[in-house]
Amino acid sequence: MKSVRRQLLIGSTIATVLVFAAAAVTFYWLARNFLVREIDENLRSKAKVLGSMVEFINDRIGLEASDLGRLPEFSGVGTPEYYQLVTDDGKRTAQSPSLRPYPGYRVRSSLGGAGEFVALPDGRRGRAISVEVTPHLDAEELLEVGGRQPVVTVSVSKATTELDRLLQRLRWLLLGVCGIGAGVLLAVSAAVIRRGLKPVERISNEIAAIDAQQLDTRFAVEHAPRELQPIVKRLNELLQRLQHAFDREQAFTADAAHELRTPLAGLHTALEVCATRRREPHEYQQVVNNCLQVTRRMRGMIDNLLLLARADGDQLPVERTDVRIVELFEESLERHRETLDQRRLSVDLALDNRLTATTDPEIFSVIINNLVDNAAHYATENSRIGISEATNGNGAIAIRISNTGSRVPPGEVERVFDRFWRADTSRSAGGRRCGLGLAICRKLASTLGATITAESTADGTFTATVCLRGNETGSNNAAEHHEVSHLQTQSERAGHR
Amino acid sequence: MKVLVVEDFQLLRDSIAQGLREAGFAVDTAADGEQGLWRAASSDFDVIVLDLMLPGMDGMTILQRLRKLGKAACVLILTAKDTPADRVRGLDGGADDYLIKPFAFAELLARVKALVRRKYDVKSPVIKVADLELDTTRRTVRRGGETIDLSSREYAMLHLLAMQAGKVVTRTDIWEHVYEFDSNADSNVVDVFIAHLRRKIEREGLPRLIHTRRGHGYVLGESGA
Repeated sequence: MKSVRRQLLIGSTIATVLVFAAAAVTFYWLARNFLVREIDENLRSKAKVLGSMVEFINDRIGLEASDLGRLPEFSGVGTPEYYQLVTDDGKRTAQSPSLRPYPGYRVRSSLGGAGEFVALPDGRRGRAISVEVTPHLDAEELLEVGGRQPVVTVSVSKATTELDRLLQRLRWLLLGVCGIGAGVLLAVSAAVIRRGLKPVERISNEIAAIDAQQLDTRFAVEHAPRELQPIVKRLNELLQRLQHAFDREQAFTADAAHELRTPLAGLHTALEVCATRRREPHEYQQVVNNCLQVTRRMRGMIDNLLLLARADGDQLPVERTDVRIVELFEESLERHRETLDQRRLSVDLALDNRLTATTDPEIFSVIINNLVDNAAHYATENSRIGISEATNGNGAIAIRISNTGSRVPPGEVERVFDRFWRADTSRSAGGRRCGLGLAICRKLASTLGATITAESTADGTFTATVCLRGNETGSNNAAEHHEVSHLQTQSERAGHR
Repeated sequence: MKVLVVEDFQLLRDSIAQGLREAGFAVDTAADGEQGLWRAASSDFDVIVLDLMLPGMDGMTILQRLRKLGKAACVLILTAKDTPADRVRGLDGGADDYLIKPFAFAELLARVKALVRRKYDVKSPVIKVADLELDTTRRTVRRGGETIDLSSREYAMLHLLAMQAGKVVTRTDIWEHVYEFDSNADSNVVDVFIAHLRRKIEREGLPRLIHTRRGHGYVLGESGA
């Protein structure tokens, strides 16, 4: 599992170790170079001194012995240093007394004045430096050595035991300092990381404590570290959306329970009261009729609730065919003929005969049926219901159904699509209306990729508009669904009605 | 005893009203919130059966208004909302009892009777005044061990007097508690029914139990003190 804390800790550990190692190596390297250069400087100056002492003595080139007393370190006592003079013909002409016990030893050091580490005759490690010297010979002496100007290589070496010990101590010291430093730094960064991650832990604990009853909890954004604030904000927004959805769901459940329990209570009470004593046949008849009416209403509502639940769960099969819209309206009007006649309503069906849409005829006719049903029920008696169409280019079409007598306040018109909402809240009158019709229309329209809107004017004209679209630039409902009904309107609009 | 039923669902409202009437209550009904509040405020009910989700004005608002008006009626909330939070809200809002739909009518009836007893601070369903005994469960009246047959209205009057035994009950009170809102009887019928009642419970030289306080009303009790 990915752990931010572990990642931060590993990262900071690697960084700390690298920084300390680099610092230690750099420091060690500088110190070592400095010390080695000191030694080299010392050796070089000694080589120069020796070089200046080279002379022609007793037929050969050698060292002016009288001056050697001034260089006691070459005597072989204590910690000896060594020198060796070699002529360019390879002959050893002089060497320090300290080299006497090692007759075959040759200082192996390249020329050029730079120091080199070498193995000393006694086996220890040492530093050696070689310089070339041209001894100053007069003509006579030159003749004696063969007429050729000789070149003498002066090599000086010295044990580096002291330096090695010092450097070793330095290494241990640096290792110790780095180890302790890295340890302290790690402990501090671990503490800082833990502290820094505290808010995450706190928020996670708070989130864990939230259940369905506490969806109104919000996290304090200003108390969260800046890096976590966007997350906390999003979390709050998520909670809010969740709360809205949950509240809506609860309200719906409560409404559904109320809408089903109330008629059930009515049935139960009517039957129970009726059964308390013997009654006249007409009284029984009355109770049976009343109960039948209520059960019919309940059945209608359960059908509607099931339809909604299926549409909510995307379980409605959508089978698209070319549908002649005017036919659906004619069928629906026929079904409502009785109500329309009873309430002396006339219908102005102004739709093109050839208007077709590619949509599911069953689902679409449920929408039309509900709209016609609403219009037939709420329209003022002896008035007109208008059904018309309007195209707005780009293949989209709007079908408008309007009626008078609306009791929906213009400001609350969006609420007509809420489940169980009614402008006329009395349940007692009609029996069949339960406030689900337009909610179903909207849900089904979105299933078909269509939209439905409503408007209500102050003078009581209610208009529902169904938009079938050729593209998805519509409402958010339409955008949810990938299937969009395609509408084909015939170009000619001659045979109107 | 007088009950107001505020319920918007017609079948339920009518059935409750019928059941309560058959159980001897005077019942008024209201189909929406505003009518319910108006009825409840304009008369003294013993019990109000109140639905919560009502058109016009919801039940909790009606309840709060009534309590503010100082109405002493016991309120039985009738609702489909069944969560404990809803019950608590209802009872905290001043309701006396809470019944969830759907319910058994027998239970509603029993609760309404219990609320009536509570309103008059009577603990037992059997009320005894001197040698008169009212069994409010069976709606029977006995005096000195002998059963007396009463019409439902006579029983209702005696019940009201017995609940407040020893106290003066005005003719308006009696009229209001025994007659329904849209009844066109006037308060003089009270005297007529009291006369009928006396004839039945004080016959054959038994000591007087219903005493007249002229200009005030009637008192049920041994001495009439």
